[in-house]
Amino acid sequence: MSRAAFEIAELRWEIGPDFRLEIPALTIPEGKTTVLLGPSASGKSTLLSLLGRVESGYFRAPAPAPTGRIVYRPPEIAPGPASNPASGAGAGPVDLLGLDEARLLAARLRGDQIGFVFQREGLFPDRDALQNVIWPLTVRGISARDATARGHALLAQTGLAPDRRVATLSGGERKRLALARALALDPPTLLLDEPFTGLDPSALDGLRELIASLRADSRRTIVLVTHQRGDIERLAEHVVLLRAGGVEAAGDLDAVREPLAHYLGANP
Amino acid sequence: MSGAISSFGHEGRAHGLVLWRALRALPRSRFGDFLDQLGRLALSALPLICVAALFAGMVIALQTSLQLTRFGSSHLVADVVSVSLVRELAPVFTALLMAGKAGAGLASELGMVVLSGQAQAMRALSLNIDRELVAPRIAACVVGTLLLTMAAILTGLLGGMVLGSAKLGLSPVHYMNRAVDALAPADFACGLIKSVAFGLLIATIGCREGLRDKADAGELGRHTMTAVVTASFLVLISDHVLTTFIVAWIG
Repeated sequence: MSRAAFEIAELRWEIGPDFRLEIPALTIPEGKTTVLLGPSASGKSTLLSLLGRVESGYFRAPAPAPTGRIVYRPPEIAPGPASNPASGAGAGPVDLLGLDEARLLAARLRGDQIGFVFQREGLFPDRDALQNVIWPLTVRGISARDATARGHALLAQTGLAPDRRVATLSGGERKRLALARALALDPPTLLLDEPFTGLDPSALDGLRELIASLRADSRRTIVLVTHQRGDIERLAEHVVLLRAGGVEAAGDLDAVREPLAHYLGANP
Repeated sequence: MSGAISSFGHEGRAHGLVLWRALRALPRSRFGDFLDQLGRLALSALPLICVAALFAGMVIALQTSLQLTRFGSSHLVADVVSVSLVRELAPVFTALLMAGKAGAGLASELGMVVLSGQAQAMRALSLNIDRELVAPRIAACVVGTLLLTMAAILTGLLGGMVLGSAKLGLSPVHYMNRAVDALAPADFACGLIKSVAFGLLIATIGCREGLRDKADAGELGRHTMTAVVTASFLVLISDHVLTTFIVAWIG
């Protein structure tokens, strides 16, 4: 039984009159790739945004805040040879829902320990590819020289030229740059919200290979939202099937084979 | 009625939150970001403000001279123009132009940051939006409004001098001497205190409207328009309130 990266308990979030996310208990295992699946409006992206604590805007939303617990456990050993010393490896568990925005900023869990790639990448358009990657590094006081070296290495890994302007990037390149930026601080946990949506076959293959290469590190936890059967077959080790804001089935691929087959049969 | 009061209170709290968070983040923000924003928000408006102030100075001098001539006091044109420019007109029309330029700029720029998901991406990287984006913009807008008001005073006086010389036959040196002699430190304090307050108002409203959650480009446009209209309206209202307090305080 592998260690848990996230432990969710009594999670409840009412967003408007039509939707409520309600998860009594759920575990996301450490060092595995977990795929969040489900029909539209089942709560996949909502759950992912809560795991990354990026659910709210600048102002507190008029909807009531989520209740319950989402406990994040930093890994005992951080992944990768170039691990960020601030990645929190070996630190104690923390209840993410118990932290307000100011404490989240101070704790620097986001970015350092939990990387996030959004469906709409949220790239910084007035900066080139390299600046997009190294901004979070320089803000943390890492020297421009070290940050640039790290940025160049990540862009080489993702196959992007450092001086490319964001406006000139294709859909696949934007996704890869977003992934490079999320990896800048070498977080042990990666949350990917529909990273393969809207990509042409060659861009899709490139990004799949890139994510597959990240999975090679057995200490890295990846949680991704996808609708595509190919991604589940190729990437998933653990599956969470959501429906109407609740968990219909969760477990390792073998354990959820029947509900998964039923879901994929209905949504080929 | 209670709905309007509740909405007013909600908006007041939201604006206060933006300002409070920016002030807290300001000591940790970078001076280079402030200078960058000062150039974008204020220096870019300098030609516009100077030309507008030049013509405003000329118009005020012309209108004032027409009225004063009726009472045989046309020699007081420079005195009246300089005091009204410094205490009232330069701060107010600079603020109105800044509400249109900087207010709209802040609301649309930060609005795009929210709409395109950059704000969410910044949170995901633990980048402090207040430190990185809001605080430098608010500081630049306040300092920029102050500097532009000073520039408007100078070019407004110059406009009055040109008009006085060309239309009223006054010597430029005589006009400027009278204009400067008519001004007391309290006049400058009145104008500059107001310009700082207006800058704060425009920046806070622009940032608040920009940082609102928005679903589409239509909302971005509406929030930008709201920033300009609200800031312009509040500049005029607060001008009266500030003038009342400043007159009671320093004369």
